[in-house]
Amino acid sequence: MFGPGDVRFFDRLAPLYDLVMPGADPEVLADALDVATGPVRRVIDVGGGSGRASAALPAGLDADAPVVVDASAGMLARARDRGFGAVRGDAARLPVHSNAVDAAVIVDALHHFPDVSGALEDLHRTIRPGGVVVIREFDPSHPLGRVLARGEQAIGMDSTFVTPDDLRSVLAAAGFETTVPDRGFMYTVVGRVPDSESASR
Amino acid sequence: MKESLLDIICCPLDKHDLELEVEDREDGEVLEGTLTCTDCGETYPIEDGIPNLLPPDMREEAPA
Repeated sequence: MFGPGDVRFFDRLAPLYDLVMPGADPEVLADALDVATGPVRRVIDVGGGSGRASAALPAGLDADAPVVVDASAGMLARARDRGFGAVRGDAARLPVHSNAVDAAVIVDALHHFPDVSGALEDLHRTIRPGGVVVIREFDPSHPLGRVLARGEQAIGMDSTFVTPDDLRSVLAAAGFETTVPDRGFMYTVVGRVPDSESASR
Repeated sequence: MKESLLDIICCPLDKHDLELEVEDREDGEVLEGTLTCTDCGETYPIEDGIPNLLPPDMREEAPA
């Protein structure tokens, strides 16, 4: 999911990045995961790279969780060293069984996905009824978001940022019920797989 | 990877179960080995404890 150019960008910007990127706020993630019905023990961190978001997930997860899924072996080695499950995979063709996880998180990563709707459709398959996907992303319509989007394009990154409302539409098309707990430069959108009883009829 | 990871991972192509063949194991972690799809027979390597479940057409694109 991260090309070599992207990785160089992150290396150079790392000191600044941690200062200005609110990133993976543990409280925000915990609150968003609470939207799920039933316990959340198995979590996949899609596009999770080195495991920065996984490190911010609440306690009480399965021994194997969180499992970081990313295309970059270099980033995953760091996730593995932090003790997380690490799987090399493509977000749009997830190597994860249907209804196998309680939740998925995508933190500061969705804009790197080449096929956002494909990825969200495949995630819908892997998350059990009542489970959630939590997406933290930058709002390109926010003044700071516009600067970030222009900056990533200027250095040749293939980043595509979507507004919270556009993301809700894509999630809804993939079959999720959506809420936006947080708006701002970095926003949070939660997509919930409808409970099977209430899904139809 | 821990063997229990097999509960959630599957073949990225047809989503069928994977069969694990271990070549090197240390402290309960599989370090090297192969995962084979029980349906299509595609094989996926485990390298340095990380299963590479990228679809075969993406394997060469992503830098290691």
